[in-house]
Amino acid sequence: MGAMQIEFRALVEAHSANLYRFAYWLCRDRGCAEDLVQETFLRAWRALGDLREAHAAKGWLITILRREHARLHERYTPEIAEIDPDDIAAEATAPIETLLLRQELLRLNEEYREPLLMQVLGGLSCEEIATAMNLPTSTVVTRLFRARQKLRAALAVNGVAKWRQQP
Amino acid sequence: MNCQEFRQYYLSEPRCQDSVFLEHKLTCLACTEFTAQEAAFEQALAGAFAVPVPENLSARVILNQTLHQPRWPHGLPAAAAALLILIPVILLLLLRPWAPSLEQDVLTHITDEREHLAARDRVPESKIRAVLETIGVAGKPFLNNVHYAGVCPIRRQPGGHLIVAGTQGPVTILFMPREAIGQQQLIDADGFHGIIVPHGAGSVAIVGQSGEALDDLKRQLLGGPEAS
Repeated sequence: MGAMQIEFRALVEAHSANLYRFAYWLCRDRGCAEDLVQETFLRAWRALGDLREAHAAKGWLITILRREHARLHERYTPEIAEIDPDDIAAEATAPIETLLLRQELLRLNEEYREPLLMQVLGGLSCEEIATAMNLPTSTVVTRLFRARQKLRAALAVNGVAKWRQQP
Repeated sequence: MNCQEFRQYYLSEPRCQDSVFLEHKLTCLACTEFTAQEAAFEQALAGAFAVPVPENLSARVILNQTLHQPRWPHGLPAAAAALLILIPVILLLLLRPWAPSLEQDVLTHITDEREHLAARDRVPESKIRAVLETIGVAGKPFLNNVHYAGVCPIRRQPGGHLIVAGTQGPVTILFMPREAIGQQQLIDADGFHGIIVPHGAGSVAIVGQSGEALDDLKRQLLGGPEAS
């Protein structure tokens, strides 16, 4: 097995799960999410020489995936507008707070949800998210702050008051 | 970095690796409870995003890859293509300013938070007072017809965001207690008309729509609370 093949396998093992989750929240469909992950890794394999530093891999893969997702939308608009709530609420073992949070994440506007996804799942910094989304860093900071604020407010309405509100 | 700055920063980037941020996180006893509470929220958030992953996903991805070979060897064509892409990018980077000005950041913030411009409810005085106290601006609330009041990160520092009714439409007031400026600055872009004036140790931006008369508001603000 060549060095590139070993490197590629390591990438897949390390990032495929979170990349799938990221894709899932973007397209809100299991089949579409897996297709996006497959296409992302194929493109990553073809361009593996461009990846200079291992620690940049996550951001690099997320950027490829977002581009693939945008391409998918250019070709056709998927019929699925929202995740079927039963789809993600199906885990009987998930705590009630998790299920409530998922509901609220679904309701969250995409401009807030996507940077939050990139930060929480992707582990990207505000600057990295700003670069990937082609936005000013200050905009990303504001959106992340507001996203958390909106989620807390919504949870409070649903009776989960343990995460207090900021003014 | 004081506790208030740390907490504001935390709410936008909890895993920040900045050394000043990390030092405060590790050493400040007053922030221990806050950090623990927020860590629990972040854990719940990560759990909510973590939808189940299909079994053997990695194996299927690797199998798919073995069926495909790179279209191009990593040789001359790739280098030439990369060069063609890089030249305009480098030129663009060299020509653009490195950091946006305060006026640009103020306008960006107003645009990012445009939903508040449509607020119509009257904000109670207690809420305005809470917002101003949170950002370290002490004093009695002094404005009437406030339709929105909230704490925002502005240039990664805690700022106060107020919307009041103007003669031409909503007027945004951004308290930026840690953004010191030497003299008044004008804003006139994208249909907005405004000023940024020194206020205490920082500054305050007053931005309305084109044609808005801002002098009265400026007088009220400069005679009102200042950053403590």
